[in-house]
Amino acid sequence: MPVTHTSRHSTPATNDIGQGLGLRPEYYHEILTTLPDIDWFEAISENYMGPGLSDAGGLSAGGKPLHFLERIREHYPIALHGVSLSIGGSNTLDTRYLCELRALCDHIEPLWVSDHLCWTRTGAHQFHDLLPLPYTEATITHLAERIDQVQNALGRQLLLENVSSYLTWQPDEMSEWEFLAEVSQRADCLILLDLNNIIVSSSNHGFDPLTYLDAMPSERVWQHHLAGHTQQSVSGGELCIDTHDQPVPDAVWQLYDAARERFGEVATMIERDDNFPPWAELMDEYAELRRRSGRPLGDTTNNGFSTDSRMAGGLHT
Amino acid sequence: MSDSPSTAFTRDDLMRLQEVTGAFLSHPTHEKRDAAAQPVVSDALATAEERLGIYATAYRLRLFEVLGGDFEAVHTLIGDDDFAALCRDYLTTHPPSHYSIRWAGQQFPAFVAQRESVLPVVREMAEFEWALGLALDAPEAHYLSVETLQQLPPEDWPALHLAAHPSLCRLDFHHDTPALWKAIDNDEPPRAPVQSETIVAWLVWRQPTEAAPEVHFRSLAPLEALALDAIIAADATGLSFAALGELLTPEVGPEEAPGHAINLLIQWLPAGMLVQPAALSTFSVQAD
Repeated sequence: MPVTHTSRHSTPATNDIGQGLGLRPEYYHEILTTLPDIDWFEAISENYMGPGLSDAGGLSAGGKPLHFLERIREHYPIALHGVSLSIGGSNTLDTRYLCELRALCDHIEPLWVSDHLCWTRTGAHQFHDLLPLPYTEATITHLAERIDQVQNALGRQLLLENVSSYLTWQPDEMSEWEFLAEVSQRADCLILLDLNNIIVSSSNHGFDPLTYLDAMPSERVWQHHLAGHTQQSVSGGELCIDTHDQPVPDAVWQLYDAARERFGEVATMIERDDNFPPWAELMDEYAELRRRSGRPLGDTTNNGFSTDSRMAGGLHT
Repeated sequence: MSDSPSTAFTRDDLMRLQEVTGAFLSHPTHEKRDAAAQPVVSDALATAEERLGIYATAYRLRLFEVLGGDFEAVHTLIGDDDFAALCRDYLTTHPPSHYSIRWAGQQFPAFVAQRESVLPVVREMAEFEWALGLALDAPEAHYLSVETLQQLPPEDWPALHLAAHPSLCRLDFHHDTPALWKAIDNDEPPRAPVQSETIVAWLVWRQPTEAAPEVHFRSLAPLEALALDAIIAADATGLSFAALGELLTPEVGPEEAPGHAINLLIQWLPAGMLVQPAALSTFSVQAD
């Protein structure tokens, strides 16, 4: 069933902005005191949203978290990455959430805004997990309508990320990659392709990760995440668990190389969510990302991202 | 894709699938697990129940981790088993509803306070630890500075209105709970709480520094607590400097009251404790 978009939102100017890192409070101090050669950071939206200043109909948080985000935004572009939109949930979209996210966008002027292709809520209960959706025509219709509402509320195109999954729903009518490609086309949104999540799900469901890449509409693949995972024993072997608490493994690096062959220069970042290593260790991993992206750290001839172009817009106070 | 409309999966089916899955995640009983497993594929690698179990375990561990982080000293005081039981019962009564997991523990201090088996010092500790977190990310407001005060003509002082910075939190404790928290935070050997003969007034707030705002706490003398309580009670309207003087007059006499009021301001302003009411007019500090 086609969805009539109530308005079209312009695609962000470019996704060729180099390589980034997930912004986590554990590293605020190192970032601000060393101002490392990192192209951009991705911040978790909900960590900086909240009850606070009413501003142009929205709400923005204050306090120490926002203090650090503002300081880091003075030096780096920021992408906002949400975990609680529940775009595939059956409850009504949370207008307060959208209002607060919009206010944060107005304040921080992010490169773009992303969330996950999943559900996180039923009624008043927030599960704080990225729960998988059944890959059905009805789900696509449901998503396309809601993504349109979100894009209108935020006044911008949304990036949606594929999540890791540990189960397959009986009602599935198509593969995950067919589902993601169709949602992005039908809803006119962009794709945040998490390559670790593809590896995790391919192991748990027995598919070829390259089949997944080949099915993606390349013009909509706007960002990559790289991360690590762990294994958990189950009755018939081991399931891959998406913990984001390990270094990027070889399988994910290799899939990144394959993604570069298919999609070219796509904004890519390392996402570490737990078991945080010392900053120097994380920077070694970032250096590997830069090397594989053809822009080794310290090579000033091949940087290509001037401060002026990166900081266009700046912090809106 | 399905071409059989009579059996096609509908949006109502999507809602039912999410409700039955969510019911299991939050209350993983055998009965709810069986219902949730029905739409899940079992295969040679893992059963539907095992696959669902990964989500149920992650749900519980994630929330336990957040509560453990917000209430570390409570955890230390009562030990692993009692803390796990407390978290389990709390989450059954108050499943998370806010979009941010940061607010998952919002009802925890009140829940602990109503639990008869919990020692009074543990109740105080839950209240204190939550206040520390609130002070950290309470909304910002422009501080009333000493310089602003110095530039004010003397005749305008009585009408100057004082309001509390949104991070200010007043607490009353029967035990040396903040000192006990500090000892636990410093990994000092366990010790018994010390009960005071009288209730001690405490203040938690966020203080601006050159590097980054920091959360501070200290005890208050009765006169200072009286004055701060009046300012906090005046909310966004603020309390005039003249009214502050009148409040102190019965305590210290009309001659001493203005001097006491000025001394309090000199102490409060550099600590970032006060704002002018106009700076608060657009704030709402309560989450759902």
